[in-house]
Amino acid sequence: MRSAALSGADGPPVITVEHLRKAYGATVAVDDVSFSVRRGEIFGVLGRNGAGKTTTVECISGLRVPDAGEVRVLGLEPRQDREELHERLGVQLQQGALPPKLRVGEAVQLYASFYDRPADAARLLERLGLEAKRGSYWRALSGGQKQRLSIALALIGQPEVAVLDELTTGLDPEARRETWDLIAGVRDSGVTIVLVTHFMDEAERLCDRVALIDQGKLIAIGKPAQLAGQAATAKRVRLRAPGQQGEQVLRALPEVSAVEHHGPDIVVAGSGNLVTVIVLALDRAGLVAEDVRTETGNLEDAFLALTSRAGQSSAGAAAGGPAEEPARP
Amino acid sequence: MTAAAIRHRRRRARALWLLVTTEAKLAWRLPTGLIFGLALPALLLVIFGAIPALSRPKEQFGGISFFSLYVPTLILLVLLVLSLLSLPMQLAGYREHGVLRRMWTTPVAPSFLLAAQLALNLALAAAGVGLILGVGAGAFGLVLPADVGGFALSVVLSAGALFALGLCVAAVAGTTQVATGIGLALFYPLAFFAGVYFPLTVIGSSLVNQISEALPSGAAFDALHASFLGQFPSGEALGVLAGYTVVFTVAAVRWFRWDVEQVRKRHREARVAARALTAPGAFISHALTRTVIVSGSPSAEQITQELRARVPSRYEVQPGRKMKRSLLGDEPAGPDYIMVKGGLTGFWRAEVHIVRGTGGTSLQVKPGGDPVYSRIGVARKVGRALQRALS
Repeated sequence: MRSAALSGADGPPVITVEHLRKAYGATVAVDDVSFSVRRGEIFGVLGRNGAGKTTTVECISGLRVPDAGEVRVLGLEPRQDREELHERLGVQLQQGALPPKLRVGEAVQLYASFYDRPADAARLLERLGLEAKRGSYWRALSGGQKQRLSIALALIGQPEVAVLDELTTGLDPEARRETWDLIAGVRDSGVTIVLVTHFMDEAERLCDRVALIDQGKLIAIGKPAQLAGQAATAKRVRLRAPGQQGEQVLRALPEVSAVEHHGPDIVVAGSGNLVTVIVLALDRAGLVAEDVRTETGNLEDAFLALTSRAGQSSAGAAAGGPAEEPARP
Repeated sequence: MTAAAIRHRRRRARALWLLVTTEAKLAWRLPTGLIFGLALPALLLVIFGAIPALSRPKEQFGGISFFSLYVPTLILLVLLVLSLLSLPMQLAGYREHGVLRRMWTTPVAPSFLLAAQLALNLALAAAGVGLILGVGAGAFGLVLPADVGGFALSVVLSAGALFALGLCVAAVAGTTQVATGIGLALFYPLAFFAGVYFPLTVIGSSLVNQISEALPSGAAFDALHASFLGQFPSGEALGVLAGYTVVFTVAAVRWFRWDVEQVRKRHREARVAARALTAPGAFISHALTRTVIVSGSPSAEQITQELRARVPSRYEVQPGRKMKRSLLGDEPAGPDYIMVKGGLTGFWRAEVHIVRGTGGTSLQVKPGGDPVYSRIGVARKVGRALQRALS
């Protein structure tokens, strides 16, 4: 399914965010964040709760005014061109309720009237599996159904771009998987999607590219597999601690970038053929490498590795700007 | 205008109409506004109309019946319920639950929803007024205003002032609960001056009349009452209503925020401003403080005993307590402080602070709660008692 998106990845970006900054009083929610979203992709904005994801997409949606920096969506300025932008950008916000006694069908019909070229309400409800719930009140819907109706309202204007904020939070596993299939289907119909999430598996499964945000800063951007791979190629090898002398030997190696203690073990991060290099170096020093294991990376590892790096030394990844974007295929 | 622009306008008009009808359906499904705004005043009209004694002209009501005097009040009851309770509660709820935020993310602005709510409540108000006039004239022989223009102007300006005030409530209230609280706090006194509890003419006090004329509901009552008597409403009443309409509308437009976070942010700013405002309060209370120089150095117990013996027994003397900065609270303090409280609520009270200097002992008597009444009431009595007993 991902190949479908990549075919449309060329051409000008649909969203550009440059040096975005937003503070609430003394708290800096978003600090110098820059990225761009390509047409037809699912772009994940990934981070812990309170990392600044929602503020970022609220600036994109025109709900908040950035303190500094520039946001362009489909070439429009979100605040100034509010009306035109929202004809073409659908937004599903976190915690956006509807009047409790509004019926599903009425909500869709009402929101359809806001747009110049609305989608067919009946077909949209059918696609989202809500056609049987047409006559139900909002308050009578389950969490998953409310979420699907929210998606329906974000898509009712046939937008070119859809922003979906935390849409699977609070859903049971089956409802989550159904929602994922739905999102992939929406992307395949040609809609660019910005997906805000704090679930790694969701981002890994759905997103064509992700931006990792931590403490308001962008710490990495790229394909999920590449980011996970970065954690793997910036390989991590775990072994029984070889003692003070052994650690010194390892630290001196040009391939090794970091040595960390984890209980009785150490984790050595670096690049190249790390296992061989470590074993040989310890052997030369008359030491034995015990319990050597390589750690395979997934997005979660990448995230943890990158955020802990940013946390330990703010002069590290954060100040160096976002990790290099891979060249386009 | 291009054809596309006209189509665009038509679609916007359709969106607004759909919003109004949807809001109307919602109002029908949760009919609190309908019950209290329309049914209750109509029911009161029927009850009062059915009592023959209330339809007889009375000298104390200026030669008209209680029923005739009460019809403008019932019209105002319709307006008060819909403007101060129904409208702000709905709008604050929509903001609290993110409905306005969701509207913001569509091409039509949240102001469409606000306009729809306003239109619906104004339509309900018109229906309520029509219901009262219709039932009153049809069933109980109510004489309708001869000057239709003057009456219509009175109703429109009354609705303008009260609904603009309701929008101010919706603007500052972050949640439905707060909106209800502020709405009720405004509703009860304004309903009083509209004559809901009893006709204000029976008080016959010029002070009450002056206050009433300056308030939106009092001025509205005067204007409506005059139209029912066949006169054109006075320029003062209409001027007051028009003034309130303008002031409250400007305030509501300036204060209204779509996002609950923005409202909370403004509340934080307001709290900071309120702290700055307590400074004049402290100054006033300082200016009203009186110092009594006493001979010798009496102990706190002695002073307490003297006070208990000399102030009227309805006052409570509490040694070792002082006033808090808030209006009603008090807190434990050192032995140099004595509180004297009067009244059921302790709202009229004074604090005695014993200051022992090298030149002798002085007692500072500070009024608290309501500083003015406390100054001329309890604080004055405490000061005199101390003066007589100790200086």
